[in-house]
Parts: sequence; C-alpha cells; structure tokens
Amino acid sequence: MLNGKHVILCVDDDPDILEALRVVLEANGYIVGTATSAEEGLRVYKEMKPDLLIVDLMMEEIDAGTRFVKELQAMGNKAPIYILSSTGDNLQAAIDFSELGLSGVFQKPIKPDTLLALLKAKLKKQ
Amino acid sequence: MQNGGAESSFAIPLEREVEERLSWFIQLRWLAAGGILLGTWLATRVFGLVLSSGPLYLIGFVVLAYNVVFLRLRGKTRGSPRTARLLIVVQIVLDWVALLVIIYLTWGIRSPLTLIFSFHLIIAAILLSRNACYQLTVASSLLLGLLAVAQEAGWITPAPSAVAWVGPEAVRSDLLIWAGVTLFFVVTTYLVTSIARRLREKEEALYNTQQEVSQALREMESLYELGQLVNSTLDLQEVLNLIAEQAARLLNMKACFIRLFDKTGTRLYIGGAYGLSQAYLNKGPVEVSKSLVDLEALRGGVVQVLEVGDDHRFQYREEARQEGLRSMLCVPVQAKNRVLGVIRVYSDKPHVFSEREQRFLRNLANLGAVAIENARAYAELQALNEEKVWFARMAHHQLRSPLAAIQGILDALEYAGSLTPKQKELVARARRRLEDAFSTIRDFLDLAAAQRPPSVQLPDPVGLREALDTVLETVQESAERKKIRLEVEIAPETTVRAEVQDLERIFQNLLDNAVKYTPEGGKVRLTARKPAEGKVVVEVCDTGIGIRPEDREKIFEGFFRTREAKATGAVGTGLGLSIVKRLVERLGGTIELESEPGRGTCFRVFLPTAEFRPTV
Repeated sequence: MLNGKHVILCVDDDPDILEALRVVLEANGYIVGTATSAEEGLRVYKEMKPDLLIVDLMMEEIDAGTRFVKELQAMGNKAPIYILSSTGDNLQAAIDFSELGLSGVFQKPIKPDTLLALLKAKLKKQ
Repeated sequence: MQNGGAESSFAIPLEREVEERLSWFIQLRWLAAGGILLGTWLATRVFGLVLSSGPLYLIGFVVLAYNVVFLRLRGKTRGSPRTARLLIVVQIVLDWVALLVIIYLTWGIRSPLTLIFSFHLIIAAILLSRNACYQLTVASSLLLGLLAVAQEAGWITPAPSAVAWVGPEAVRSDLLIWAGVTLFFVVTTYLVTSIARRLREKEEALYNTQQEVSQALREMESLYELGQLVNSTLDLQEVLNLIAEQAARLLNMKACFIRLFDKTGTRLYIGGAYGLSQAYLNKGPVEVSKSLVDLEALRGGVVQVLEVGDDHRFQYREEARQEGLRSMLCVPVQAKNRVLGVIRVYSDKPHVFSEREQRFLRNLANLGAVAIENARAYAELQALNEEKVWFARMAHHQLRSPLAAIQGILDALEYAGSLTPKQKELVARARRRLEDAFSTIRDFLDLAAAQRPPSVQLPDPVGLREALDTVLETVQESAERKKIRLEVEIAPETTVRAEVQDLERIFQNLLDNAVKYTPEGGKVRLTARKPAEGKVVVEVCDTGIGIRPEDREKIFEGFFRTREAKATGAVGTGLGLSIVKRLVERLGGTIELESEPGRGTCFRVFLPTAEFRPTV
C-alpha cells in the first residue's frame, strides 16, 4: 500500500502490453510498477513491495516467468501472483501451476473488466 | 538350425525300418508256423509220405508260441533300436533252430526245406548290413555242412529219403548236395545284397534331399518370422537388437552384433548386440580403415575366422578372448543401393561355418537392412514432424503477441479518456477483426496439432463429460448471446481414450460451427449415447442452414466454406472441419454427417472406448 492505494507490479517483456495494463490499472486507482525482464522485476519488487503481481509466463526465455516466480517464493513473497499466459504456452513449458503457489492464470488477451473485478476481490480479502 | 545333422542322417530311418520290419517278421512267422502245420498234414495225410509227424506238429506249435511272446515284446522296443536289433537276432536264432530240426526230421541235407534258409538270407539282406548278411550265409552253410557230414558219416539218421528232388539218387554224396546248396546261398546273398544296397543308396539320397528341403523350409520360416518380428517395431534400437538376437539364436551362436556406419561414413558404431557384456560393447566406434575384418566384409565378402584371439586382423583380440569369443562369421548389411554396415556372429567354441550358415546370415542381414532403413526413415519423418510442430507453435506465439498487444491497447483506450461514439464504433470494428485473426491463428495451431502422428503411448482414459466441461461452458455463452438453446446429454460413465485437448478441439469446433450457422432461436444438441461395440458415438446436431449433398465431402477439406456459410456473414477459415476429421482419425475414430439444407445438420463422431486397445 502506498498512500492508501494498492501497488501492482506487472512484468512482461512486451512494453505495449505493460503500457496498456498501466493505463487500465492507474485509471482504476492502483499504483503500477512495470518491468520488462525478470531481473528488473526483482529490483522493482524490492523497491515497491507490491500487493499483487501480474507476470507474463513466456518472457525472453521459455521458463523466465516460472524462474522469476520461484525466486520470489525463495524471498518469502506473500503477495498473490497471477500468471499471464497465451494458449499453447503452458503446453510447451509443461508447468505445474499449483506447485508454484500461484493465485491464478489469465489467458491472454484478458478483458479489462474481468481483470479489474478479480483484482478488486482479491485485494479486498487481504 | 542344428549343426552336424549330416553324419547321422541315415540312422533315423533305418532304426524306424528295423522296428517296422520286426512287425513284418512276426506276421510272416504266423504264416510259417501255419505252413509247418499244414505242410506236415498234407505231406503225411494227403501225399502219404513217411514222416514223424508228431515232432513236426510240435515244432509248428513251438513256433506259434514264441511268436506270441515276440508279439507281446514288440511294443516295448519302441524308441530303443538296440533292443529291437537284439530281438531280431534272437528271432533269427530261434527260427534257425526250428528250421534245422525240421530239416533233420525231413531227410536232412537232402530236404528241399534247406532252401528256406535263403528266405532268411533275403530278409537279412534287406534288414542288416552286407557283412552281417554274408556272415549269416556262412553260418547257415556251416550248419547245413555239419548236418551233411553227420549224415554222410552216419552219425545221425534222418527220415528215409523217400521223395525225389533234384536227383538225389544221382548225387550220391550228401556233401556234394551241401556244396550245391551253399553255392545257391552265396549267389542269392550276392544278388539280394547288391539290389538292397542300391535301394538303400537311393533311399539315403531321397532322405538327404528331404532333409535339405525341410532345412531350407525351416530357414525360410525363420527368416519370415524374423521379417515379421523386425517389422513389428519402428524403433531403430529395438530393430537392431532384435536382429542381433535372432541371428545368434537361429544360428546357435553365443553372441552377435551389428556395426553401422556413423554420419561420417568412416567409422562404425555398434548399433545392436546380443550376448555381449557391457564392457565389451563400450569399446566405442572403430575406424573402418583399421578394422580389417569389417573392411573385407564391407567389400562384399564373407569373412570367417576360426579363432579370433589368434587372428591379427582383430583389433581387440584380448577382449574377445576374455569375452569367450572363438569363431566368427561376418557379412555385410546390404541395403538396396548402399552398405549400411556389418553383422557378426560369434561362437564360444571353434566352429567352421557351413555354406548354409553363411547363406543364412547373408539373407538375414539383407532382411535386417530393409528393417533398419524403414526404422531410419520413420525416425527422420518424426524429426521432421517435430520440427513442423515446433515451427507452428513459434509462429503462433510470434503472430499472437503483436495482436495481443493491439488488443490490450484497444482495451485500454477507453480508460485513457472518453471516446466519441464514432471512435467507439471504430474501436469495436477493430476488435472484431482482431478476434477473426485470433481464431485463424488458433485454427492453424490446431491443424498442426492434428497432423502430428498418433503418440506411441496410449493416452489415459478420460470421462467425456469432464473433458468437455470448459468447452460446453464457452459454447453456452455464445449460444445464449444468439438465443440458441444448447442441450447436452452424455450417458454416465462414457469414457474414451484420448488427450483432453484433442477432445476439446474436436467438440469446440463442431459446437462453434453449430452455433455459428444456426439462426437465432434455434437449437443445438450434443448427445453421447451409451457405448456399444467398443465405440462411443457423440452427435452434434443443429437446426441451422444445413449442407447441400455436393458439399458434404468438400467441407472436410481444408479452406473450403459453403456458399450458404459465407452468405451468413460469419467469418471463418474453412479449416475447422478438416481439423476435426484429422483429430478424430488420429484417435482411431471416424466422423460422418447427415444434413438437410435449411433444416439442420448432424455430425456423428465415433470414438473407440477406453476399454478398446488397438492391436499393434
């Protein structure tokens, strides 16, 4: 929380997707941090201490997203993490989502309404 | 294939013959005994000859008696030719004693019955060896000679010579008669043994030919079975090991290995092996130029080595010795237009490989070459297909990413400030076109997935209901938007053996089409009846635009859309049904359709049940 607003960290190697997410989320009163790589993501994570994370499954490398999540787990992360995935990605990476302690998986493209409703519900519970 | 059959090749039929002839002997003896009894009766009663009939009758009965004993014993000699032979000798001795007594009782050496000895000699010539037959001739002649001497000297007095035969009066001396009889015996023996020998040679030749034919037949059968076996799998490693194993087994060898050229074409690596230790196999690839035995075989020769440990052409003599390898046969593995490598078999004792064995290994190697080439071709195809699927996935990802970004930006647009109605309309149009693009990309991915070969491992059985949950949910949404009633009826416990994703693709496509081409207020229905005859039948029916008979084949070809479908204004790639058909066939099923233009269409998918297991 920062100034009474929830902080959300979005990690995706596509800057356009990040920008679109930022516009939607900021318009709905969230503070948004963005990162285009796993390393940057970890740095921003430490700086901003987000309340929730949205991570692209397939960044520069096939398992970059899952490796990032595992590192967060190792750091004792408590914030819910949502994975963004394209159809077919999960097939290729053969990931066991439950093992990673994820809060959920979004299939790209995700409708803003759906995303906002979900965030609201999740953050209210916390 | 057993070795060394040739030496004893003739033993088997002769033994069988001895046994058979033993029965024949016994049968003949019934006649002989009958002959003695009847002859005595005729001679004394009808012809009035002066003979001591009592002892003659007695002998007749004695012969009958011991024949009964032999008849009993006959069954017990089966499988023991030695006993059978002994029994023959005992019979001959007994018969001779009986014959001698009869001769004595009927005028001694002058008796015409002396000639009966010749019957025995004839039988002996057929049954026994030439030497044994001459020995019998000498023995019978000696016996009769003793009789003649005893008679001449007056030591015994047989019945008075009252019958005339071959001028007994003219020939005074009993010894002279004996000499005549002996000559007759010798000539008979000579003639019969000569004929018997020729017959036996022919029989032997016939038997050997028969053996060769059945040997060739066995070889052919072995090769045929091997052919079936190695063609039952397309896994190269398995094929190679099978060939090695069969080669060693069929040739009764200790070990076998197949060396194949590697990619460089200058080295040979062990592709498949049987009966060799891992340590021996770990030698790694060999340079062809250094492996003289392989080099010789590769040039088209057959290489045979009696003792590999002593042959300078072997690079690994010590290892071979430790492995217990002694003799070796090596032939090339020759495919249609190139040599793939060599196959070697090893015995654990010194062994000279016969021409037959060499020929057999060559045939086996040629057969193996075909199987190896098939397995390699299949592996290449699989690799190509993997590459294709990988390419499709990458293309899919790369195509989708920019579209997803565009969609994200369009979605974000209204959050960045309010839009005019015209701007909103334009954004909506852009969004619709984006959705088309997404579905086209999805179709291409599905098509690539449908084209991959069926997996070697059978998928686990899945419940149809659970597998289709997500699909039915999304279809329900789109049906509701069009006010179409979606009815679903799946018989409980309907399971099929398929990947869930494949099932989803099949029924998502069929149901999407049904909703897409059914006017508002219509009905779409999915029914899965109780499985029957190993098949699950799933029907997807709609009250839509229907398909004309002339289009019913074409809709399963890629990129085809009917005129009526295009006329509805709904967008599509025309790939959906071709994907469905491929996927259904991939799962071992079939698809058919019934349709009435303007009234509706029913697709019927037949899938094998979970219990069904395809036979390899």
